[in-house]
Amino acid sequence: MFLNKADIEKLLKEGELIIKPLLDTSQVGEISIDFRLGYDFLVSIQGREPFIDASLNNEDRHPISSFFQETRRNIGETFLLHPNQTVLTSSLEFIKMPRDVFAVLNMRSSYVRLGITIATIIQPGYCGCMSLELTNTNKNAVNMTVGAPIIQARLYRLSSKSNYFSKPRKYICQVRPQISAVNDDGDLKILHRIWEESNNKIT
Amino acid sequence: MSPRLLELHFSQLAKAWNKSQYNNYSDNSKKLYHNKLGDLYRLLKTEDFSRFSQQEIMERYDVINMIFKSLEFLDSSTLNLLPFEIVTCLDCALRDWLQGDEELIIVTSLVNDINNYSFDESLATNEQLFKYVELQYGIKFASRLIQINLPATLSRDYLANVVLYHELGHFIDTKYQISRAIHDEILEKLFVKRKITPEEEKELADYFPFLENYLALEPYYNNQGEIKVLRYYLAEYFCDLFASQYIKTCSSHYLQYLTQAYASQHSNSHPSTKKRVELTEKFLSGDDSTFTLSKIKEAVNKTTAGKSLSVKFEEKKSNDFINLVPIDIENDSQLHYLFVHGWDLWLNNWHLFEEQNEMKFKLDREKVYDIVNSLIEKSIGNYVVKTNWDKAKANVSK
Repeated sequence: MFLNKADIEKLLKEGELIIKPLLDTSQVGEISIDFRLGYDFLVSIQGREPFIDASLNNEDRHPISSFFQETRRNIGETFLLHPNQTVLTSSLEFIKMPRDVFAVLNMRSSYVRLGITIATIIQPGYCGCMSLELTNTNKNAVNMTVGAPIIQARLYRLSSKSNYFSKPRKYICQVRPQISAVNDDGDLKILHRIWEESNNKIT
Repeated sequence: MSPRLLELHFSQLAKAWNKSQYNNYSDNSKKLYHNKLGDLYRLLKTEDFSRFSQQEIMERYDVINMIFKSLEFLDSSTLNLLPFEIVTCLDCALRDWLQGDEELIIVTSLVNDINNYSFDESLATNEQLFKYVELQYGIKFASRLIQINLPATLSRDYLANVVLYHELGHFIDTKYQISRAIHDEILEKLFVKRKITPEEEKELADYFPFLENYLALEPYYNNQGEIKVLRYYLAEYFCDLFASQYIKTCSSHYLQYLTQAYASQHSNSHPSTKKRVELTEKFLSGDDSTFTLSKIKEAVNKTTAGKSLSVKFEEKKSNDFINLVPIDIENDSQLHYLFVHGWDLWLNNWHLFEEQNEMKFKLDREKVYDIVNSLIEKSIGNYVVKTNWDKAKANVSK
């Protein structure tokens, strides 16, 4: 079920949905909540390594963190997003989702028109700042203001409650953007084993 | 020093200035300070050093050093990685101890030394030099710089960063000469007035073991006019109390972590952790019967023109951290108490995370460490953001 303003306000009032800080109640719209650009960034950079290796087949691969550089801003300052650049950042708000509600995130229309894209979901029961992976598809750089509402979240209710902590989680209470933990995926280990066996790499 | 050597010193400054003159600062007070440095540099540049007396040369040498040091602080101020959360907390505490319109700018340097938690106050406490610059060049600096050094790898470790409150105490001690005043008073009592009760004598030997046979130190005192180790001990005790005004027993926890098995041992510069923790606990419990504690409190009052050593944190009861959300802070006093929440969780309540949030797995220690630090960081960050937002909103109509 898709949640409207009254539903969202009820969740906030009852403490089922927590948003800290909610600087302006007008962030809750008729069918969505606006979230703001946070102040921590991981910026993709080009270094000596030719590519990011999202496989386990190369033992000499460099950590993904070596392809990103950390930077911070104060609220009200700006961050320049270059064409085709991917930047990891966080929402200004720390959220705790109800156990039966998930959120779908999109850029606010004003930012989509500038060529900035994002597509991600927030799971039921998630707690932390939302990880935002922004890409600028425009041919021009876009200067963004830290603290500006840039994201729109639409909320959907599940038919039953789920437990976010039913299994170990990579991300709990994260407040800064985190580097992709793709190389920790269990499936990659199985796929790597298959590759080793097919290529006589097992000793 | 010959004029030629001063020319060398200035030429080196010119290189440093060329590199830094276009620095960008997000903080306007840093920018204003930087502009004043520029004015001073340009005036120095016009001077003919060959006409200077030896004294004038040495004075210029000090002024050049002051510009060097200022640039070092401003350049290394980690603009893009600024740990503003801990700086905000320290700045709040610092403001309690400034007089009138005094303005201090805290700059930070993230260093690659795991033990390097320190304050460099060498610029902020050299008033004579600033007065000289004002008289000689007509340039008045509205603010002073102090630099906090903290280990880069621990810049987000708020359990460890509590040490900086103790280090801030050293700055306050240097600024007001607090431990010096107590030192002088105790030695006068022992060797000049010779008015010490048996109870005081016993206590002094307890908190300052080298004073057990203090009469043996009299010839040394008569000759030197001071006993440095006494000053060092007093400074450490003062800084512990200073920190505990804001963060309760948190710095004692970290001190115990650092000294561990050696907690009962004292050195030539530091009292034993055991005695330091004991004095802090007496202070926090309001037990003023201790001679040492009452002397420190008296000295603070005298040297700082009426400021007092007193509990300044406000206890804020909250289960928010246990529920995995940041705590909403309402004022500066509550801000400091976040560290108490963090340490309490770390020392006593790991299990509550799992129980309260129905975790079906065991949280490992690294995860708990990340959660505690993240929650403290975000609680501080939210307070800063909310305060700025409310202040700006009151002056803007959308």
